Amino acid sequence: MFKKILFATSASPACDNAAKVAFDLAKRNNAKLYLFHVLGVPSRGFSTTVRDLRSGEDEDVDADYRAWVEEEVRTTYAEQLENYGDNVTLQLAVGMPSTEILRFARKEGVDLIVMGANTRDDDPESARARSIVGRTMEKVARLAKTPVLIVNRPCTTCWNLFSNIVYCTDFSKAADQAFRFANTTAQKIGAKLYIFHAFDITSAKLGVFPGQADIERHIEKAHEKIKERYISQMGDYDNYAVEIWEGTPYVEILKFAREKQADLIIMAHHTRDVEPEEAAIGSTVEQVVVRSACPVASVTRA
Amino acid sequence: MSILDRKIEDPELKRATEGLSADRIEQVINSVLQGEAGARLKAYAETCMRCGMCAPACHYCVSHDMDPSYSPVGKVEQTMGLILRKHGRLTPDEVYGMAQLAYTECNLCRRCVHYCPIGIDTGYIISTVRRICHKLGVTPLYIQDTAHSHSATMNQMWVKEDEWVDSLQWQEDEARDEFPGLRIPLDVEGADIFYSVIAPEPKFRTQLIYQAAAIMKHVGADWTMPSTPGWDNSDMCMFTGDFEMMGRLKRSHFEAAQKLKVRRIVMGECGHAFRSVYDVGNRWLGWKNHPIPIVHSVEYFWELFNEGKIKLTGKYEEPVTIHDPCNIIRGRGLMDKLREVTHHLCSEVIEMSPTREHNYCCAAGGGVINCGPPFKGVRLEGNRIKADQLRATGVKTVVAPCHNCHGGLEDIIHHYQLGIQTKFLGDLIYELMEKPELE
Repeated sequence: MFKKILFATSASPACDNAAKVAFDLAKRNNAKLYLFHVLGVPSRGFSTTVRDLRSGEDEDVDADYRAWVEEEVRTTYAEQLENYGDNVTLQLAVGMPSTEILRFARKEGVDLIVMGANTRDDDPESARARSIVGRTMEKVARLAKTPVLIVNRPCTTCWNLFSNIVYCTDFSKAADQAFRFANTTAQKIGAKLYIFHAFDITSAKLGVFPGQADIERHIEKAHEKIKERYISQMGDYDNYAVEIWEGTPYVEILKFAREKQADLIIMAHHTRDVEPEEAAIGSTVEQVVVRSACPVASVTRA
Repeated sequence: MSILDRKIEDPELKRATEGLSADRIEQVINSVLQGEAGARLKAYAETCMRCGMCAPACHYCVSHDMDPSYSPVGKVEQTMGLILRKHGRLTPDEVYGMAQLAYTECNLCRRCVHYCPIGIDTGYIISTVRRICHKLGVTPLYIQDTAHSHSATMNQMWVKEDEWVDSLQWQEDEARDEFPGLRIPLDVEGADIFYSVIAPEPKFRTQLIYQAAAIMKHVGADWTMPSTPGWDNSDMCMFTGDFEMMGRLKRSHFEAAQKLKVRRIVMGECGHAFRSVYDVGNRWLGWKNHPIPIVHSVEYFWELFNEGKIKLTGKYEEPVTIHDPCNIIRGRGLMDKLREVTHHLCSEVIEMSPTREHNYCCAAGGGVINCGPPFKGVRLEGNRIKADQLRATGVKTVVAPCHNCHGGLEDIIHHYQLGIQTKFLGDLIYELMEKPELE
């Protein structure tokens, strides 16, 4: 189902879990895998130096440095490359990681981006890298036109053996896009698809928090919407279930995913989410990503 | 202390000065003095009475506890003064010192002009010293690389032609989701506005092009960008002293606009590029002003606000301060417009002290940041005063409509741990303007 997969990596342990999934997916789909690494963040004013993501030192981007980084990346993924090396292209770039990942994805027309979430890397050396890569995930997930698979914890099953997929919707346009991906994926691998909606009862409308009657009305409406927007598109496929809970969306999503032993969560960035840099705790997607036991696919604009 | 006591190793300065002979130095210096400098330099040399009033004007001098070797007159003494005293017979070591001083210890910010009782333009004298250094082939490595990029590609960052067009189309694609129907029109003949940027925008900061396109869409502007060389308005050759190349760059910028028969050029938020277009490059090409009307973003935004074309959803609530980029404030007098625009956008503005044309420089301009890592410390230690000035405002956001200033301020903020963020006017307008309601 995927022909070109872009694995964006900082080539640090934080991306190890994502690497496993990326190589595995590429192998199973017989897809071309781009191993994409951004060398460093350019300093302002002069084009020839970058701040190395690992050491934090300023480095000249010359042939030596490129060769050295390339070697490092190859060593990091030596085992995977040995098993699945023929169809892998290593690509280095200089720039703001999120910009370069999006630029490359567009240029090559990839159909899936795989990356780590990278907020739990306890390597003190990469304090700087951490904040950048964290923001990178956030930006890429919000802007990419392909699904972005974010792998934060070790993924025990492989894609084709997934049996429970949880799709979360807030009925935004972006969520509808995500449904198409969820539907195709579930049908292709024959997994059970849970269509899930969490009614947000934490935010007040005009200063009034929703009461029990409001909640019930909303849930009823949501059932109708799901029928109309999603079930109608599923054809004969009947391996699905619909659930609607209320609470704080990301908490409910995580609880639900755990209860159903989900192997994959599919969701979209809410279009009305506040700018990620300004939100104190981040968007629902981020909250889910950092806590989820299984990979999360974010499909916002695919 | 003299410049030779604080020599910094730069591979290119070292290589170039090693190959110089005294005769060659003398010949090049005198060819510039006689062929290009003329009455202006002579008047400055003869009227400067070494009073030292310029010393408190220079951020380098103030930040080094008033060390006279960092004062404008002290810097002129160690470069042009030395040349005139020795009639151009300098040693290669003296040329090294002269180059290091001219390229990295003066931002050509012209603050000192305001302190000189007879209005001597030290920036002009130091530029002339740089011109001599360029003709001697003695320029710092990193800025010379940028100048090479200009020569080879007509832009500052080795951006290839297809890369340029592709970046624009990409940003158009991106922006159309948020602003249905948005376009970044390429090569539109007879458009009102020809919008030009500096090469770091397509290369690394594509978001700025996105924002500009969004603002143009918001105000319904009839605008275009060129698909051909001439799109980059930046000019590091002006700062290396490579005036021939500066002329070629400016000509290609003007001609790209003329070919499209546009009514005027609007330039992005960059200071040095503006200086090269309205002041230095145009004169080198023989134009007193410029062959086609040109405005800086600050002026353009000011017009838009005055015509009521920008609709905001609210104001920026946190207090901000305003940094005055030298090339558009001291150079062009846009201080009032910059303030009016900022007040349109922000509910509380806390001025720095001193401010407006007396504001301190960011220490990145004049090509100093482009001299690269070897000289980063010079900029940071040489601008402690800016850190003090920023800290005293107590704000967490500084508005600076200039790329170089952002670079310089960010380094200072980081080094002195000020915890302040820098914003372009475009950032604020994009953030605050009304956007289409999307589902």
